[in-house]
Amino acid sequence: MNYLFIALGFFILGFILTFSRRLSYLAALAGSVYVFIAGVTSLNIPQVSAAYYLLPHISIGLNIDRTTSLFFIVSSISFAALSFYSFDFGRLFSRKMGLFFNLALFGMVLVMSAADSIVFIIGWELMTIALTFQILERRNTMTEAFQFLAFGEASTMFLLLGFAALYFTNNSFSLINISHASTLFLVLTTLGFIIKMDIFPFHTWIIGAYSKAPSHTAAMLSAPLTLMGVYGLVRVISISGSTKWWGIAVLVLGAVSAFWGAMFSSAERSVKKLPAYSTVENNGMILTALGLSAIASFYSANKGVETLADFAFLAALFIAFSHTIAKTLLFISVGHAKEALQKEDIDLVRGIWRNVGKLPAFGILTSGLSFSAFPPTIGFVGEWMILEALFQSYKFMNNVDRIIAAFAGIMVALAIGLATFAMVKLIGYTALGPDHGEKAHKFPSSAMKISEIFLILLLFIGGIFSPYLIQLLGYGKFLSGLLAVPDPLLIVSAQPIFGVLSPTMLTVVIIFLIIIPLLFFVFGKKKVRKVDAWNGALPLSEEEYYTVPAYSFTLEYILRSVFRMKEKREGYITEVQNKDIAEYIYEFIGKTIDKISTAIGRIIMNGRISLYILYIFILFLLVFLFI
Amino acid sequence: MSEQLNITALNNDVISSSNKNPERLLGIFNTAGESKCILFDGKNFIIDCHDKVKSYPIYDIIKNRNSVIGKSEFFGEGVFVFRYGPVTSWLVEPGVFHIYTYGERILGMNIDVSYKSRNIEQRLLGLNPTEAIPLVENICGNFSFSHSLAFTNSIENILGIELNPIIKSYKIIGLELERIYNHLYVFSQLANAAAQKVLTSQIQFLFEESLRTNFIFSQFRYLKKLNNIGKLNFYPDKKTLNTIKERLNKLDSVLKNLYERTLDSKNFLDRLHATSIISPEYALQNSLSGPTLRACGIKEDLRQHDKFYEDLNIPTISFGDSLARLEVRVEEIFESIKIINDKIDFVDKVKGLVPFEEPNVPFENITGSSIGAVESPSGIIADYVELENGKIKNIYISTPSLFGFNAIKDSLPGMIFTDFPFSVDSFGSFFADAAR
Repeated sequence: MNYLFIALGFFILGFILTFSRRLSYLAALAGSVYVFIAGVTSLNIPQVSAAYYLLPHISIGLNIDRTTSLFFIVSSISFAALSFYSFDFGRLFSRKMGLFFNLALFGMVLVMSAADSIVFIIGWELMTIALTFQILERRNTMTEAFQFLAFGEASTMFLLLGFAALYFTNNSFSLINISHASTLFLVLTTLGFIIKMDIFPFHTWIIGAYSKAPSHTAAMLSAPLTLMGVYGLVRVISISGSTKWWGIAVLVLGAVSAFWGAMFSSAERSVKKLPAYSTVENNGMILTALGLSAIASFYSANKGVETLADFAFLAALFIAFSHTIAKTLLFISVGHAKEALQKEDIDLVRGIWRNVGKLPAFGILTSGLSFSAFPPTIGFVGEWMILEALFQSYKFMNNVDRIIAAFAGIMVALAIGLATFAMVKLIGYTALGPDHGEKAHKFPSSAMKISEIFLILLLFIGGIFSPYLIQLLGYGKFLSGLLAVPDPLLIVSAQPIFGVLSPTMLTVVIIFLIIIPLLFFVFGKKKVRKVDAWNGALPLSEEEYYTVPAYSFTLEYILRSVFRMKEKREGYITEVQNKDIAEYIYEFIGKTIDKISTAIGRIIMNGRISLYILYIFILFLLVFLFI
Repeated sequence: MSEQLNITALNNDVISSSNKNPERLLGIFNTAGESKCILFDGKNFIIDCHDKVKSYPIYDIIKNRNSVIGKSEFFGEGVFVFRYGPVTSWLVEPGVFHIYTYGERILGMNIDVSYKSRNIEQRLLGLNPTEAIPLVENICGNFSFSHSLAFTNSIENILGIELNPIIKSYKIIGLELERIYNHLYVFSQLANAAAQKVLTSQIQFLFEESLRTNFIFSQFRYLKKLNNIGKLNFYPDKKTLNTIKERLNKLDSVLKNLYERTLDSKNFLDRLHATSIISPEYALQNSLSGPTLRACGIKEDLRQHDKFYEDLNIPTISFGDSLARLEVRVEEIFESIKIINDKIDFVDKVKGLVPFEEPNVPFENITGSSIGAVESPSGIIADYVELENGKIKNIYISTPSLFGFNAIKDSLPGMIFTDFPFSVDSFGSFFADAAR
């Protein structure tokens, strides 16, 4: 617990040291390290702080149990990488950024360690407000920051109502050591958390906020912030227990969200909106896995399904971890390139490898590979797990459950395929694509590069040594050995064995297969003649490069009714426009509220002061009576 | 001053016909410091120029026919130029399709034909007509006999030569053989584009067979070195003609069978149906002729004005798409086989009755001008030639491929890339023919 207090102390120090950017981010880094230490040291020894009484019956406190420890470890990796990255990147913004940065981390750590709903809500609000101000650090971002705040407050509202329901059931605000909760609590808090997880249809704010926000803020919005949503759901399930209907509801919502996010990311043309939609996809997969786990719990007494609930839950954790690391890496690498080239469109951020640097290019490449489930990255292991879990849904006793799980499986499989399509686009154009010949803007980036290396290594280490990670998470029952694969290097998806994977051995094979051709290449006769790709006998001119919208046009055209695709043309100006259906919902809500408020405004504010005073009086009475 | 020349496909015998069409511009050239136009009304070629021609949509294309056809330009997010060519797979000759697109959709197109430009008209200047024939034959390999025929026509018109009916029949056989193999070539290209591998192989077999028939007829697979002014360089004997007849009858029966099956293949027809639709109004305004014109319902064929083509059946279909163009071409193959059979029978019947004399008109001191035209496999080839003391002083060659490429450029926008080969192949246009 002391490590947690030290971490929080460092974050507070970070607010104070705002006058010096470096010191402020250094405090954030130190705090992140202590969060990690707090997580590791509390893995097997739950710790609870003293209770601090606000009122005679209302106390607040902190708690680090196993769930908190696991989320501490994962989120602290992202915190640390972002803090160190900000040593250089933070120079591009005002000193206030350090304050908001530390405040956001402080809020997130409070959320994860809250022993009661009061601390939880305080942490929740702190991180929301701090991130809103971080978005505002860029010019002309008022709309996007406001959208983020609106969704954030909607989330808070549901959580407040949910916690109120919990209070009525238990007569306590405590989130630990209770196991009774009403359905209302489960529904309301689930809504509150999935809003934070950018689940369809609550994801529309990401389109503007991720692209306009500074890259380290976008990384924070995408990785640790959505992880808080996952944490919240896990915590809620631990309180109320999972039920089958809840499982089915979140399974469907998650699967649709995964498909939706992957589909729109495959059509995105902005270097930051593409990863934004990828976040919707990944969180959709996490939700699917949690839903499947809940359904499987219902059948856990049946033969062959005993371990599915745990395996699906493990899949959710793995995807959450891989997403946090890979998405942080992707955003900081993309941000590095974006700042160097001062461009936003994927088409214009081409040639990062040659023009900006090998590390940001490699960062985009490896994170993209992880999202494409490329072995031996951690993303590969996570996505194998969710598919393996979904494959086992045929063991459910009820046909309706089987069909629903099969539907989710199809959606998730499509999502994984589309995500690969999107990532190939991002990697192909930005990291490895031919550059425009434009000079990249030079700025100090040593810390940024170190952060990138750190996360690149983690992506591979996490994947290669994933059996040990599973052991650390406490799911040793899914580890085994078989033939030449020693125990515990084989991951098994069920007991008795259903499917197996050994990322460690797979890596050995891959290395072996690479080393032999590499030796031939290095020591063989180098009779390699390099020529440009054949382009009809002429070099490509700048206007002849295959553009990003062209890459996905066929997909958009085939799914044009889903994309709401329109081919617009005015004279010689033409383009393809898509619109997310969810945006129509909010436009409708916005217009309806606008109409109602206009109508009410006309009745009340019609120049008659007596009517206006009456309105204020009635409102005052209502507030007085009910609040 | 306007000069009206009533000249038909193969000689200056005019069969009166009432089916005139709106005036079409086929070419623009300068003579004696004056700009002249080749105009065609469906029956007559008119050498004239009036201010109205400048408003014709095809005017600028003809004026700049040696460079890029089209001036399309598009802008917007993701719009780029997909350059297909000049040397790439599927293209059998160098040329470039500059396609504006934001992906699969074709927004607009410019076609650069200049890579195949050989300045043949310039190189013909100063040559005597006999020397000029090999060069004219090489304008476009697939239309070598048609080009040579249009050229010799114009010279025969200047010289006032009236062809012997037997020589005329041989020339008709050559022209129809060229039509058959060209139409088969287009058919095989379209089948190949639709990945109908069995059909493609079958049609390519027939194509090869037709080239071998050409060889039997002329000693050249592409019917070169056969035609001459007022005569042929080589006259196949009766046995050869009978062999040709047998081979063509066999081709006719195999093709009929294949064609029937093709029309049953929805998979194939779907690719051609509604692809690159040409309206009759567009066709006439943009100087189209040949199968493309007939596929939009206009019954026009230079051969119909020639008394040597008796009872000519002109197939027409009104839909104007790639499928209609293919159907017209296949029907024309059957018609060409019928014509060749008739001409072989005619030669066989009259060879002993009609005195077989080759005209011998010296052109060393001849000065004059005329136009010669031929209904080539893909449309009208019209050669305007001026001779001065037996040497070519001025020549303008109007080719159907120029108008074909222009139609491709205008009919493809709005379609998708998959439609591209089905559109381009159906017009039967060649860069060599357009660029000369």
